[in-house]
Amino acid sequence: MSGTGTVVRPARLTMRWVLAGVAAVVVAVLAGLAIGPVAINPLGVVAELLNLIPGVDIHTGLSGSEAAIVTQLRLPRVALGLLVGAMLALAGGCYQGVFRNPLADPYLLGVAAGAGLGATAAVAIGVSSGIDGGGVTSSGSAAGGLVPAFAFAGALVGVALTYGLGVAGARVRTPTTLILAGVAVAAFLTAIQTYVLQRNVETIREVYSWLLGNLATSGWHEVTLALPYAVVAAVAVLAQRRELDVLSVGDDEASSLGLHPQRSRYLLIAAASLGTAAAVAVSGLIGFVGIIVPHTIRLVAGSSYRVILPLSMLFGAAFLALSDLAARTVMSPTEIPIGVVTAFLGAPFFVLVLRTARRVGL
Amino acid sequence: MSPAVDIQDLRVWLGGAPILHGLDLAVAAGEWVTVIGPNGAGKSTLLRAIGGLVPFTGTISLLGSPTDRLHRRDRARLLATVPQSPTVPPGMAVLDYVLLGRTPYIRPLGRESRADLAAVDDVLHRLDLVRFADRPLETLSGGERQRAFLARALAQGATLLLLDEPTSALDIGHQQEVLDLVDELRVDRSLTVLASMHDLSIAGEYADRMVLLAEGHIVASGSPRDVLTEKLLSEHYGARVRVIDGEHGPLIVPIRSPDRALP
Repeated sequence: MSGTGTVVRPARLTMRWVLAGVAAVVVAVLAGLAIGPVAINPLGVVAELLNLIPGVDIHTGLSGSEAAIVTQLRLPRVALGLLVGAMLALAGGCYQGVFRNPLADPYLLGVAAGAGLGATAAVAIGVSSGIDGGGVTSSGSAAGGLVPAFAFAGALVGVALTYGLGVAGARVRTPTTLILAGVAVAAFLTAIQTYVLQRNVETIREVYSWLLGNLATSGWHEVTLALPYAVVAAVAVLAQRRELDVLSVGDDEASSLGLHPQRSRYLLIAAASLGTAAAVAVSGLIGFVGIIVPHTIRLVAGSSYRVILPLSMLFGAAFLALSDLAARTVMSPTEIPIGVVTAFLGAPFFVLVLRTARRVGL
Repeated sequence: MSPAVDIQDLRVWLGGAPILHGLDLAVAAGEWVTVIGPNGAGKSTLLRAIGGLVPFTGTISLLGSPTDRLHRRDRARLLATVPQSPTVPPGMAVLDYVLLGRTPYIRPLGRESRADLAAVDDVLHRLDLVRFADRPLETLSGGERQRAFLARALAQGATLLLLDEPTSALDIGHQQEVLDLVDELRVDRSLTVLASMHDLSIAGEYADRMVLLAEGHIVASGSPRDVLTEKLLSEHYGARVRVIDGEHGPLIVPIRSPDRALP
């Protein structure tokens, strides 16, 4: 340490931001549980949640049907929203760092389309063992046993094609090249998916409903199915958040600093694609979460991935749970696909990011 | 004692075209060697080969260790590079940028130790960057930014510094400031400096030895007075120059073509 005794403090996640993220999740959970066709007293909701802890028994003031609505209908759905939102936001932040591209997002990179195709193929060829005896479940999610694995394979194919077209094969590498490649790959994979669906008309309606994105659940099945993949993806990405900061100086400089950029990139892409696949398998295609959330975090809390990634998970979880609340209440009793809600918010935000990126010369 | 850098029969091909044709070069520990040469001579390629960024044949040894047998992290502990146009990550604070220099000491998936933070603290003080520590790198002026690039390289704790055109984006005052600083650091920290530069007069004032590279061959090597001659510069740069004996080395004055002189 130098004689002046200055203590250097690198970019770290501050307690203030962690608390803000946790508060956002708590608000989203309570709102998601209390608001709906049947309004439920938030204090009763809190008591009902506390009663889930073994050994706790508090008088909630809720009727038996209200308690069932909270714990059996809404809670799994809110939990799924948190999980999917956290995964999509984490994957978006990770892709933005890996590709050094502010526009990268699972949706725009063709990853989600690849995962969608993988999941559809799994349903079409009957490898899924959904709770309804195969195929798409009654809730509209393609949550069969092997579906996440097929979605992961599709996600990797999607990101590999986009990377090959937009980075490795491009003469001029710009953020726009990558996104154009992603759009082309997504269109191509979606076309194949449509073909697969047309060939399997018996599943077409359920799969289409799932593709539009929704968080309708059948109890805890979807959550327990996606959770292991999500945990692996989150641990793998978060463990490498410092490497993402090093990658931000470009491959040559990262290599001069002792990093193996290509190896780190592949590991991060695999982990983020696994997270995306887990999300897509249980919720369909929900766009823009991966771009809105990490960018907002970057604007307000700093540009280090050590800050962006954990906060993206917290705020992404809250954002999607609240978007789902909007999806099922705005036009109640009709439910809007959640992908429509996030796109409605995300499209203007995307234009804003494009303008900002242009201004700072990205 | 092994040379800091020992290059033997170095050959580099890029896109199928030969760029460097069998170079031999040794740089002694503590020496400042500057590579000069016209555009396309292979200066940057030479530095990139030493940094392990382009494939090559022949051998490059750093302090006696052949680079092809060095782990990437070990090489980064011996050799720090300031590229010609370092990437400026949007929004990254100077402190975090300098801290990237400690990457070779942080195990994969790990985080900085107290020793890493202390090393960065020391470098920030030495380069007078403490007041900029929390500022985004892109908000610094050209000279300040160049100091931050140097600080990241110094934080690597390497004794060998590769500088690719370290002053190309700076005005003359900042060029002198940066090169004076490098020279002070070289003495303070027993660094070996291998630089490529375009400004011949300034290059000659700081280098112990110069290497003139042309079309991938070393065509002259020696003291600045041996290399910066009107004959060599005319032959390899196609330049009309006058060389004046300066206090710290030869001064190169470009001379306009007599055919195009004003009436």
